[in-house]
Amino acid sequence: MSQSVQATVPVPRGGRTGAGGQARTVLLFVAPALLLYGIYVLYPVVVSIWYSMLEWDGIGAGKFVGLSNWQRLIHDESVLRSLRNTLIILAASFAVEIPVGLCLALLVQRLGRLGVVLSSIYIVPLLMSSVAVGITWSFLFNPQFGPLYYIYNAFGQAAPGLLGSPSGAIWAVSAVVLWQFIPLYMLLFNAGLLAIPSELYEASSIDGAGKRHQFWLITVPLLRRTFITASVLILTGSLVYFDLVFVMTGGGPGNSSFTLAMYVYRAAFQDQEVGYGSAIAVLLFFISFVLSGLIVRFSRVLQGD
Amino acid sequence: MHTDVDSIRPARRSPAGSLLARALVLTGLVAGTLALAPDAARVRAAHQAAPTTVTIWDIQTGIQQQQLNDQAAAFNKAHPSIHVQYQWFQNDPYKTKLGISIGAHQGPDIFMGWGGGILQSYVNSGAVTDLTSALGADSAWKNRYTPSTLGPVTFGGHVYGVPYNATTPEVVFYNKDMFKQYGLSVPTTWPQMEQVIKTLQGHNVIPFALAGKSEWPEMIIMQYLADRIGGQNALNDIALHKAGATFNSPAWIDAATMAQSLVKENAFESGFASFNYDTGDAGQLLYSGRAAMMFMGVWQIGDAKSKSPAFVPKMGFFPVPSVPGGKGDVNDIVGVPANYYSILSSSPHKAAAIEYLKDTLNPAYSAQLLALGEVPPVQKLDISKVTDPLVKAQVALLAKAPSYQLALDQLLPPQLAQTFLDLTGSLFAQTITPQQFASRMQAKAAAYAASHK
Repeated sequence: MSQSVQATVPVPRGGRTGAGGQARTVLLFVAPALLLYGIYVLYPVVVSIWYSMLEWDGIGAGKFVGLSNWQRLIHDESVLRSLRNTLIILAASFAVEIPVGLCLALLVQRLGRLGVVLSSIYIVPLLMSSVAVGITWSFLFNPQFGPLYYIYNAFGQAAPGLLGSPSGAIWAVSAVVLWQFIPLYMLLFNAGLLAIPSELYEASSIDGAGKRHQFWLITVPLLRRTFITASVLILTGSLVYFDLVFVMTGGGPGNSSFTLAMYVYRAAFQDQEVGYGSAIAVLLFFISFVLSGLIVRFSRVLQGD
Repeated sequence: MHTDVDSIRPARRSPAGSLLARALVLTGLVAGTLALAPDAARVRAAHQAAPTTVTIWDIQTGIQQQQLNDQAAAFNKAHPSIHVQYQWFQNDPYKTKLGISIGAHQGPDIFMGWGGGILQSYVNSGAVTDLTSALGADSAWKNRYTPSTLGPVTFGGHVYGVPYNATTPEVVFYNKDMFKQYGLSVPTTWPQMEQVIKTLQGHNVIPFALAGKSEWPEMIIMQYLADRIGGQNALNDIALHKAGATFNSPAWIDAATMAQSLVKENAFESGFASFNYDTGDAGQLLYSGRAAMMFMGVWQIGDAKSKSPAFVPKMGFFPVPSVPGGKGDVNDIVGVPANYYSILSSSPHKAAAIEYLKDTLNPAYSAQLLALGEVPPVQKLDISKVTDPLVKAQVALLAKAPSYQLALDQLLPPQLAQTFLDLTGSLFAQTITPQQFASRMQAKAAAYAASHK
């Protein structure tokens, strides 16, 4: 972060300010942002780490209990399950949103004016609030009143209650998450495709390159920055995913579809165990920290700068 | 919180900082909500012009909300120096909001609650005003309420709230026409209940509608079975942290086994675990005649009246049947004795707030409730004018009850209530065995007891 900040601060024109003076100027410009960042981001993180060592209902006085919340967390089956579900959403998003988003973007480009119409239709899910999406899909999945009932009933079968199934619920919700966010990646790739100069395709076709060669040797390499952006979006969105799971299953049945972010909410605000909830939040922080480190490394390699 | 997450999902800056920032933001959510709230006292001081404004947080909807607004308006007219003001919230978010607000010392003057463990946790932190001496000084006020109603708000002999609306026991609702059609009579023992289930299934009717996603409707079944098997002490001893009281007991294991066998014999609609009580799907199964019975509180009557008036004449209820060899009385009731108003210790207007509490369930208000088909928890209730059979049946049920147990998710402290609900959800989803249910619940209860000595 500090690197990019220094790079954008203009060096005073014609000035021969010493290194100390420049540092002071930099600090002055950065101070307001740093202050806000400190109050709203760094301070709560530090406080959360402190809370994670308390046993506290959020109302009375907290009691220092050292690492006992952490011990409990390691043995909590619900935490493992939440972590697993969070990773399912993450993996499903990677596996589906990027390729499907890219294919849709290519399709929309190819179709010209019809493509513009189609892409406006495709982005509708992205514009709807997650709560509305969740409630609508809950109805569609409902095995007694939804369309599934009538389809299965026609064959004399009982419709499966996907959202009520301990093994199926997280997959059903993931499918809706994908449905909602694929258009975002379509838009991203669409923008990325537009930025590729058409001369490259013309030149390559004169040289005798086929469509497949053009895709793998021109389109994909020139979209690498878009791939990185998409990956970051998927990582950040999936790790703290909350909304649709909350609306569609509430984490149930039992604890089978909790995500980590939902479990933080459950522990800290519904169970009134702020200490334990903070411990899970800090765990989530460390996971994100490690993954963000990996992504930074990976993107440097990819960009080849 | 989910809107927060929603709004930060799409837009992003640089790959390096963003994930970190996101993680920081989420970590900060817990701390931030608690630490960075504006100073409530100052906000309130701004309003503190004459007359004294008393703020109430409540969650009632529809006609109940209208009635309370009317009551407040009448009160304000009669007391020119006090201005009572309602703020309405949605049920589930309310519980979270209240807890956070009390922690941040920016709550209202009066708040509604269910008594039991949640209120007790506030009382233990010194957040709630003790009403014992005020009630003692005004015997007409104190004796207005049926004594059992004050149970869930009494801790260590001190009273921390007063009831203000109808009492709502939980029962088994059934479709009277359907029972007649299939020659069924109301079951009074569990083997009879099993017979009813088989007969209904033979006629392709779902025996019970169940809103499993909400989990507390499943809890009603568990709590009643535990009562019928182990007697009211199976619940009371645990609530009172009596030495030796444990969830890992035959009563709870048997209750869990019986509940799970209902699932195994398909006594509920397929996919019941995805039915959300708040969206009314389960009630719809009962009203439309696809299901014959439903474990639920008597508030379901009001729901039927507004959503499916044609069903109301067919609607009947009976107490949960007894279990052979069980210690429980078939007349024991489980439910919500009332909703309560309590005063926060942080309120600068305690005297004015107490004035308003003295007005709850006054004779005119109680008569209004009866006219609406609801039963107020007051002594010397005049039911001579009542014609509604569902109201008469409720009054009879209440008169016979040797005990009235608060719904377990309110009775238990919040640290245990959600665990009980989650484990019940898992039990009904058959991902855990009855033994695992009992041992996991007991492990959590023991850990809680150890840290709250």
